[in-house]
Amino acid sequence: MTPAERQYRRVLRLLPADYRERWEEDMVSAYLDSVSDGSRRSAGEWLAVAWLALRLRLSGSHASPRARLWYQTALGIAMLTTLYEALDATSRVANLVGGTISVNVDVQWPNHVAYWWETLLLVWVAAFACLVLGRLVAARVLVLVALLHELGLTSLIVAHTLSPSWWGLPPREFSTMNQAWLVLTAVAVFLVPRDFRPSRAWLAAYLVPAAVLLPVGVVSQSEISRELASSSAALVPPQWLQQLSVLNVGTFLHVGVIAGMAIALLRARQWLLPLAVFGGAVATVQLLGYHYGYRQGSDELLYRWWAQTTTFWTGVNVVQLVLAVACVVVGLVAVRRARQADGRPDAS
Amino acid sequence: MTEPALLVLAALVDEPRHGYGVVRDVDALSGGRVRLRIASLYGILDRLVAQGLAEVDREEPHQGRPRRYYRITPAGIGAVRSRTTSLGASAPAADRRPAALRPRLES
Repeated sequence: MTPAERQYRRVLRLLPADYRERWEEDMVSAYLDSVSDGSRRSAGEWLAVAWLALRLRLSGSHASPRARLWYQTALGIAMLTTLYEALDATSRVANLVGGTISVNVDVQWPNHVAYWWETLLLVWVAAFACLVLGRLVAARVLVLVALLHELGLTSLIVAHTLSPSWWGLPPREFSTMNQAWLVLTAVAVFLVPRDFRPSRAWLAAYLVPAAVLLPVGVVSQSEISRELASSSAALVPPQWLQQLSVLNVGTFLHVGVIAGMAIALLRARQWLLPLAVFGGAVATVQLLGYHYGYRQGSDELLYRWWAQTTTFWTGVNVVQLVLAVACVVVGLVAVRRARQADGRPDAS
Repeated sequence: MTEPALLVLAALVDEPRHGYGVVRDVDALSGGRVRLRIASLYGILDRLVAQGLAEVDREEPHQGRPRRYYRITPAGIGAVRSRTTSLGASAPAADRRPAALRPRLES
């Protein structure tokens, strides 16, 4: 046995045993043919074997029912998180545009640089569109760019040049959870198979909320809203303008998750678990974010800026708590049903 | 059916081929655009065999190692025809777009 054959056989041990039994000799034969032909690089071949092993264990006929269930959940979460990040980016850029056309805004550096970094978040929108349209390679690259942006550069600029309260940056614990979540999302996007073809209706899940978030974001952050509110002949009651902040990504998230779970119960049960995990995780992270924010006092300015009372935020927190609990219950039901469908004994 | 899977089936249309023979033929068929890794080929072959689109033809010894040849099945030929027909139907329509653009670019 040559060293090349020995090494390749060692890498093939990553594959499931029954797959190896069927294909190993043939794969080794083809690999050695390619090596003798001088056209192969070992590292690439080894990575391809590792990738094949991962896919077979997660989604192929060699995957356990549990692995398949969580793989489908990971794919669903990849879609949902990318959609959420795309909407969040849209909302933040709309706020930015609104703030920029305000006469009082300070557009000097470092705020000017921060504006550009914020605008770069729109990469999430492109990533989501690519994911829906089946442009998988482009989607992966864009998610990676968005991730690097979120993880490194934004943190660096915020840490060195802007006060957390101006940015509305939550405390470190919240950031860490958010970043960990985004890393998991990127991993899930990389696990999406080539033949993954979500319905084009997913585009509407972005376009409809974005059509609301864009004008609301611009108006609520610009001088227009203040002028409308302070004008003696106000066309719009000031309290209505204050309530514009309710039309944010969080609201769409809560309504979307609840509506999505209702639809999934009736029509597409494979989406129950992804929606439950996604909704539960985001609601929990937001709850913890508010909790830490209040305790450390870093969000006070943000709350005043949004012109809402403590009672209002308490109400929001209660809704999030209810959503988190509902998601846990729905998630447990979905797991139980999946186990029963697989004919496995129920652990509970 | 993905493009690599279509090319693997197309490589088996004229004669049965062994694994590396398929890799080389896919390379030639695609004009060097699709270069399959061995693991990728066997991921595709595993699916095609499971779907009944390809099957083992024979096994021959080669330099002291067994070498398996694969052939396309009638169902596989049908799948290739169906895929190439649908691609052929959409290709002229897609081709008309750049053709319409050309006079504008030249003017």
